[in-house]
Amino acid sequence: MLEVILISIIVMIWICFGRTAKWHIAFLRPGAKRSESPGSGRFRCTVQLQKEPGGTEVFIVKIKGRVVTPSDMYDMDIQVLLADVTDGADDPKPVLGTVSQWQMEDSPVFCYRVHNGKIPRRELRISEWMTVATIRADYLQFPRQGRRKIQFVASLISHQSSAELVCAGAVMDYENAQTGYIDITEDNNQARVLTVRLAVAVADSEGRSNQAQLDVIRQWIDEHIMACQSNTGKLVIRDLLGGALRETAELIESNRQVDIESVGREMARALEVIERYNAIELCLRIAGQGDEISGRQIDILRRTAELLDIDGEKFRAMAQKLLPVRSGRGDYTNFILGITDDMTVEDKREQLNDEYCKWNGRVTSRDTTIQDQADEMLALIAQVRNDCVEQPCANG
Amino acid sequence: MADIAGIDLGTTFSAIAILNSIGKPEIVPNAEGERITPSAIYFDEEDTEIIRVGIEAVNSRQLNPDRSVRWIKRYMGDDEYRKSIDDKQWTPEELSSLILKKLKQDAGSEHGEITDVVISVPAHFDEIRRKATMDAGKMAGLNVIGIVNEPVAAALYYATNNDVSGRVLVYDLGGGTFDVTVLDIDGKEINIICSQGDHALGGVDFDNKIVEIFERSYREKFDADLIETDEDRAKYEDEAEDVKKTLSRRNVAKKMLYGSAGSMKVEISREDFEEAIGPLISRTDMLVDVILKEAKCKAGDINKVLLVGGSTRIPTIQGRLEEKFGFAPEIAVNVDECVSLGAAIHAGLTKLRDEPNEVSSGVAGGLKDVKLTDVCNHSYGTICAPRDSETGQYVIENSIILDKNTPLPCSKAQTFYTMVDGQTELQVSITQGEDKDPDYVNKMATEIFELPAGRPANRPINVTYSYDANQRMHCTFEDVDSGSVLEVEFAVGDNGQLSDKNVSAKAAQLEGLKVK
Repeated sequence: MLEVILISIIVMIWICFGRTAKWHIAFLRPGAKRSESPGSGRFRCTVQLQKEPGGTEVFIVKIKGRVVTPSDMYDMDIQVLLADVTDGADDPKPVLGTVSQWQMEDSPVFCYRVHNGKIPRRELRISEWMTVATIRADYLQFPRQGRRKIQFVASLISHQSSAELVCAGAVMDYENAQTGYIDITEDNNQARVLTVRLAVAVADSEGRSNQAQLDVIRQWIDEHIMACQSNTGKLVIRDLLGGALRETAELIESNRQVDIESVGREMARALEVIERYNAIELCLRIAGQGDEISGRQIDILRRTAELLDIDGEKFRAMAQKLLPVRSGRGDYTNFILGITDDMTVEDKREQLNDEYCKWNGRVTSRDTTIQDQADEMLALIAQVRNDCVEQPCANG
Repeated sequence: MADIAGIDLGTTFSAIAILNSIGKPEIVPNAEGERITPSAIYFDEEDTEIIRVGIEAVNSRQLNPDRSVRWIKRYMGDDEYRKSIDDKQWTPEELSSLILKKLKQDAGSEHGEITDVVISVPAHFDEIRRKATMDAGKMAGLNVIGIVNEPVAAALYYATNNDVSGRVLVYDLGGGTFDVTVLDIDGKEINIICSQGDHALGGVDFDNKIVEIFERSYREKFDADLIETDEDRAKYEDEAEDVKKTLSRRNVAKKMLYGSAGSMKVEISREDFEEAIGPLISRTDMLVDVILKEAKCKAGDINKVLLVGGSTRIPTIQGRLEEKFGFAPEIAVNVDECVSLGAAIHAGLTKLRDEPNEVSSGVAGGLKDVKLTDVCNHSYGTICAPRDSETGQYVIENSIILDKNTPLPCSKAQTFYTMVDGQTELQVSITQGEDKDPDYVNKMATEIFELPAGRPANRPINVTYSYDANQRMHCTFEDVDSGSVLEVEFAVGDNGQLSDKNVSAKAAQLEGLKVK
């Protein structure tokens, strides 16, 4: 199953990146005839890896050999294309460019092309290695992190027609310290799977989830399917997330619980900041669909927010917006109002004043839902102030 | 010259005052000889041509609550509220206009015709509710020359009738709303520092707590509901108000409760009442804390606390204020009348500023030393899309341009930038509210600003908001490169709810109605 998914992901990436004919011709496939100039000076290419004074790694691409052009004063470009051939020359994977200047016209695949100028005579002999490109490693994105085999193909091509006159390749080993794009896609998909698991765990925390909660999860999955541009990609995401939804629901039905700690840690590792916020928002939305918020839901939500390194005040603002105002649990009320155990009575008073000021400003909203929510919040704040500040409660 | 008047359009009671020949405000009693008029309306069943307003409406209420309206101020500006009477759907503005019509009518029969008025509103009323109040006045055939905040009106009256100077906190707890204002008074010069209000806190809410005690006591004794019909509710709401007033004078109040399961006597002590209203009192305490913080001062910096509104008669409220400020609050003016009296002074000041030739020399002389500097009641901003520093994503945000409590007149500007290459239009919104989250602010106006084509992103747009002394707001959006300007100007609360034409048409419809 995992292999199928992996292959699908790679197919998807290829499709998404627009594997054009232009990119295709860059690779020296087994059995393909190399375009070489006849005679003794075979056209060749070599690559060296150097570190610049600032520590930036650069690939120095050099060529030498004989080039024969169709005519004198022939106008030429120099082009360098890269492919990751770690998995074999018959399974090359694109190397992407991170700077738009060095990308192909219709895809993010790396393409270095510069105008060389006119060559005076039909035959050109380059007897010494001549540098034709200096490529910064941080302008490149490889498929995966770690030790890679990178193929460099240098070509001389017609400036007018882009017809290739001559090309040569060189392969070098490279230790890629950056996360690869396939790694990222896999991580993203894995993170989405984990998000679905977490969402189901929030919905099912009391051994039951309602239809509205499941609809929120399904809608989230649909949005991710729709966001994928290719049909193959849509199928992959649908199978992946639909499967996660089913498997997690089955897990919970068999009275086993989702390991929130490991799921949260894995998500924190794999997700970008914005995706972490999106994940916690999904969970809050689901919890908000329930009749009332349960103790376990609060625990899961708060712990997940901690694991995902969500800013405490932002999390509370999201919770105030998406969760019901009351739960009957004192710790939930304190959380919603931003009251912590270490606060003095004066701190609590100030915190409640701030909350009162905020919700009092919202109560005149033209939106009746917000008006009702503000009315409820004001009543809750007043009750807590009356109970905990006017007559200090146990931990006050 | 027609009389200049001030009207306190209250949740439970209303009052009208006029400026006398030497510029002193005087309450004009109603046709029943009362100085304040209950803000209650009753649509007579027998004679559908007659609409009763005031004490008669209160007395008739228990007979048929369906044809009765009270506390309409709480719905002012609510475009979803409708009271259905004999196939007519009455809006809050129309209903309020009936109360104003009664005040105008009664005062007119005592003096000459009343036309130019200032109507008071709670300080926390937003622009929409202020506009709705003005519309109600126009529908009643009044020329509403201005709107004044209730605590400001009270302070105006207080400052012009007492020798006072220093920092004053006006504590205005009325029938349905609660406002607190901090101001500096130096003789007859008044500078408003800030105002805060709670829209749903007043005598009505205290009454409801007593109704809850009635219901709970009855259920405990008979295991049955005391209130089964709207008539029952209307009856016990009135009984509750009576109990509340009694508890301001005595320690215990007694009432008979008559329900379908039997009758019983209930005794409510002041302690019971204070416990029941505890959370509501906490809200008043919080609002005082909030305003002190907003005024950047402490309780010890306040020289006087001025009580306004009938609900300030509740002893625990006075006691708590004394405890907080270290001195007894002042009841130097009539808590039920001072707002209308102050509104009349405000009306005189407005007339003097806008049409000095239309003000008699006596009134002008009486008001010559009075100076009032008011502030912006709310924050005004616009919707923009800055980048979030944590997520790196664009977020839709309300950016405040004109801060709440800025002294009037004022003008503030900010520069924003276009977002994308080739942007040819910009949706500009004018918001009211303090929140950054656009979901929690009210959009007062939204317009499209056309921009020149073919430009890169990040072109500067200067946004200027100004607010003049007549409470007219001017908003200007200027494309700096092309010099193109979009101007948005509107009066207080002008959200397009009711055009002047519609208000005039409604006024004509209501003109023929008999209000008694």
